[in-house]
Amino acid sequence: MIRKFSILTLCLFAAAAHGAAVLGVNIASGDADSGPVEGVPVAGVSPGGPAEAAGLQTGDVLIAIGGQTLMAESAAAASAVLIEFMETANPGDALEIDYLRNGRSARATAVAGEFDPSVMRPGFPFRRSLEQLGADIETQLIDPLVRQWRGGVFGGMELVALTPDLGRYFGTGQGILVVRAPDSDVIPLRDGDVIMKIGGRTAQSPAHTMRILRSYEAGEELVFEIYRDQREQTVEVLMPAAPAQGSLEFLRPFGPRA
Amino acid sequence: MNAPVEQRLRRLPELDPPASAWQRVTRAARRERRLARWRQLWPVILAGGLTVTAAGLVVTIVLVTSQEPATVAPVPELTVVQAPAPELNRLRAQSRALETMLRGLPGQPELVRAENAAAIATIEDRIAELDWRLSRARADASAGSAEPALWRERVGLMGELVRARYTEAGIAAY
Repeated sequence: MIRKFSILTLCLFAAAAHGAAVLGVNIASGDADSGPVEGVPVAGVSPGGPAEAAGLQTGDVLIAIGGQTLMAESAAAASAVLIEFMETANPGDALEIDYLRNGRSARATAVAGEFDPSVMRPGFPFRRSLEQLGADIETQLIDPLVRQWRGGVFGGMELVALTPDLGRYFGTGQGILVVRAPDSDVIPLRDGDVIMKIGGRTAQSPAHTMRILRSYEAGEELVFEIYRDQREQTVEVLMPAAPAQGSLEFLRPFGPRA
Repeated sequence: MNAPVEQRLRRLPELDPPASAWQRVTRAARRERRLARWRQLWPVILAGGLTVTAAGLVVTIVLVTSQEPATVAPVPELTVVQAPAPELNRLRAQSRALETMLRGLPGQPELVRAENAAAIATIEDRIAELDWRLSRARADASAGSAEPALWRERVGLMGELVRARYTEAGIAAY
C-alpha cells in the first residue's frame, strides 16, 4: 500500500529507535535565518539506500510530502517538517516523493528501509569519538572492518540470490544460495545450501545476509534455516569471536581457496 | 560459374542462435566499455582532493545541463539558502562527485564474496548514519561544529566505497 507521502527521503531514524524507517537522504539541516525556501535540498544520497533506488540525487529539492508542502519561512523549519514526518514513517512504507531537479518537478516512490541498530553498537569499528572522525579512514576504520570479516569464520564464503530457475533446481522459491561454503568449518554450511532465514529473519540478498550476521555478538546462538538435499533443515552454532588480526588486503578476487 | 548471391544465401543451412545471445553480447560489450572507462579514471580518483573537486564541478555542470526529471513542470525560483562555508562547499562537491562516480559503475554483481558484501554493506550503513547526523547537525547546536568532520568522513568513506565497488565490478567481470 502506498502512503501518500510526497517527498522525501531522509535518512531519518531516531538513533535509539531500533527498526526505525530509513530513507537515505542527507538534508544537511538548514539555517534558521535563511529566509523563505521552496523545499529541502538534498545534500547527499546514502549509497545503497531507498532514495538512491528511487532515483533521487544530490542537488534535488524535496518540495512536498503527503500533499503537505515543504515550503517554509526558513530552511531550518522545512528540515524540521521533514524530520518530523520521517519519525512517523515505518520501514516498508512506500513513500511518494515530489522534488525539483534543475527547476523542474518530478515524482518518485521510495520504500523506506529499516535502520540496522548494529551499526550503533558499542565496539563497532566505526564507533569513535568525533575527535577521531576523518583522522585516518584507512587505519582507523577500514582496517578493523576488514579484520572483522577477512580470515574470520565467514571468510571465503560466496553467495548468490536465487533466481526463479535456480529456485526450481534447488527446490525452493527463495533464499540465498551458498555457492561456496566458508573456508572455516566452524560454520556448518555447505556448498549448495540455500539460506532461508537466520534467527527468524528472512535473508533477502547477499548483502542483507551479511547485515544479519553482523548483528550477532560473539557467543550468541546463530540459527540457520536452510534447504539442503531438497528439504528444510536447521543448523545451529554459537557465533564465534572475530579474529584478533588478519590480512589487511581490502578485497581479493574470486579463485581457488588458499 | 558462381550462382547469384540470393541463391547461395538460400542454400545456407538454417541455424538458431543461442537464446538471448545478442543481449548477452551487448551486455558484455557495455560492461567492458564501462570498465575500460573506469580503468582510465581510477588514477584520477586516487589523486585526491583537488582532482575530485574539479571533477565535482564538471559533474555539476553536466548534471545541470543534461539531466531532466521524468515529469516536466516549470516552477518559480524561491530558494534562499545561506551559503555554507568554503570548507563545507569543497567537501560537498567532493561528496557529490563521488556519488556520481558510484552511479556510473556497473551494478552490483549477482555472485558476491561474503566478506566483500559485508564490508560494502557496513560502509554504506556508516554513510547512512553520517547522513542522519548531518541532517540534524545544525538543529543541534552542540553538533554543529562537527559538520566539517562529518563531511570529511563522508568523503573518505565514499572514496572507499567507490574503490570497493570498482574492485568488486572488476572481479565479477573476469
